[in-house]
Amino acid sequence: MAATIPPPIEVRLDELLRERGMTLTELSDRIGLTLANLSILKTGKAKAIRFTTLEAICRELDCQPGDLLQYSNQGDPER
Amino acid sequence: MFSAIITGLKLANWLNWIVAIVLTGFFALLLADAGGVRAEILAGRGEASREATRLYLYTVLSIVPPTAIAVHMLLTRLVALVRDAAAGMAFTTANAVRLRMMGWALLAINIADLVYGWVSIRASEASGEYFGWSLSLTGWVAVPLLFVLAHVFREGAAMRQDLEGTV
Repeated sequence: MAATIPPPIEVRLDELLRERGMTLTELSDRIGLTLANLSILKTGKAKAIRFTTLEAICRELDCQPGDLLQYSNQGDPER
Repeated sequence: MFSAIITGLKLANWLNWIVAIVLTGFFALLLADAGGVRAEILAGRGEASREATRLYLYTVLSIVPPTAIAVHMLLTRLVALVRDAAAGMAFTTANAVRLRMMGWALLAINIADLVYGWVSIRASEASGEYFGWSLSLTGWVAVPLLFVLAHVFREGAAMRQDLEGTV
């Protein structure tokens, strides 16, 4: 039931990678995070994100944390 | 090391059932007075002594099977716990449930021990023979320990889940 509702915090990793023409594998190599973990983040299945991961992604993709994460109340179960 | 522990626990459980079956058979035969052994032992003793012996036999017969089941539950859960620990996945909700179940099983064993102690003392008083029992506090300390451990494992499982979802 809860799985059908999209999480209120959306991870826009796919869009950022597409804009920069980078693959997930390439990013994984650059930031030293496993592809499996990066996939978890990309598909929105992550429960938490470390500041070090956020820093590395922002550094490599030259973006702000706000570019990566987006809040939308449509998926918020409390609304 | 873990496989040796598991083998030992499985052997202990086999021993548990063998002892339970032998004890049940032995006391059932005594109660039925097969071969007149009980009558021979109790010959010349008063009615109080016979009554105490009967109560002792009935009680032992009724506490041995549930105790064997409780020991079986305790040991099988412990085997599963050790197996999970060996696989490096000790902190799971299933293990928290197992530990709580072990706590209940040990509580049942302790209560059975108290009941045995009570009839044993009564039978000793009435018959003048020493039936043998002494209070052990170790088991009573272990019961709350198991319940607390179950709680710790539940929290550990939640933390583990959080950690696995952290990138």
